[in-house]
Amino acid sequence: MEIPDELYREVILDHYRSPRHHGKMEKPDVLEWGKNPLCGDELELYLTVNGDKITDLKFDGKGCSISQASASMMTEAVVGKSLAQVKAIVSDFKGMMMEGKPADALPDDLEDAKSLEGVQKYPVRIKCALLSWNTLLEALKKLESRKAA
Amino acid sequence: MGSIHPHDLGTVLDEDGIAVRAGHHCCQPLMRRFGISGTTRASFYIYNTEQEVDKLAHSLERAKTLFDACAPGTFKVQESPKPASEPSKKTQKK
Repeated sequence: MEIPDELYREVILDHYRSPRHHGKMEKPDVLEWGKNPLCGDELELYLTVNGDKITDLKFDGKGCSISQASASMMTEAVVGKSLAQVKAIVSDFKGMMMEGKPADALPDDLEDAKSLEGVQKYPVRIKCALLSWNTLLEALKKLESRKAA
Repeated sequence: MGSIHPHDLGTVLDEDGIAVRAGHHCCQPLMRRFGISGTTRASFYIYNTEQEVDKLAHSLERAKTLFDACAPGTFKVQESPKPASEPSKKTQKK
């Protein structure tokens, strides 16, 4: 009868109760929506991009503690990074969540996100943790297709 | 249960070996009508015992302690939680 410490670590609850970069943006360069129809989680992701860098991003939405905390951790990990760096960070995170790569191997940018390692043991919750990261990838795709046009 | 998300509640109960259903229950239009993202549903049947009901209540209290102060933007410092009484022991004393 112990609290599932591994899943609900203090750092996760901290991001849940005080999410970083939370809110909307007046004039984002990219706005992308993410939705998880199975559990009803919804996410809006706003990006400000300057040249090759994500200079600011915000998220808004509703969902469980895992999805909200994960989104908050993601914003901290990628703000100020180049698009190539962001892709690498997302790939590292998804590697941990989906392929079971060890959290210790993750770069320092993902320090807080390492705490989501315990979610691996709850297969139905993995998609909660991935919603924001997949939405970010979609936003980058949108940005690239716009650049290419 | 306040603002605890159904899936968070479901996971905490699951940790205690209690099976509930959480989420939309395949009724998205109804949930939209109520303006909620889902519910957590505990169902009983003839094979459930009184002890199991106590266990559920105990587990709900635990979830509340874990999440009560955690709704986004409403964080308040929580007093050290009083240890919830162990329902099975209570029953034994009787």
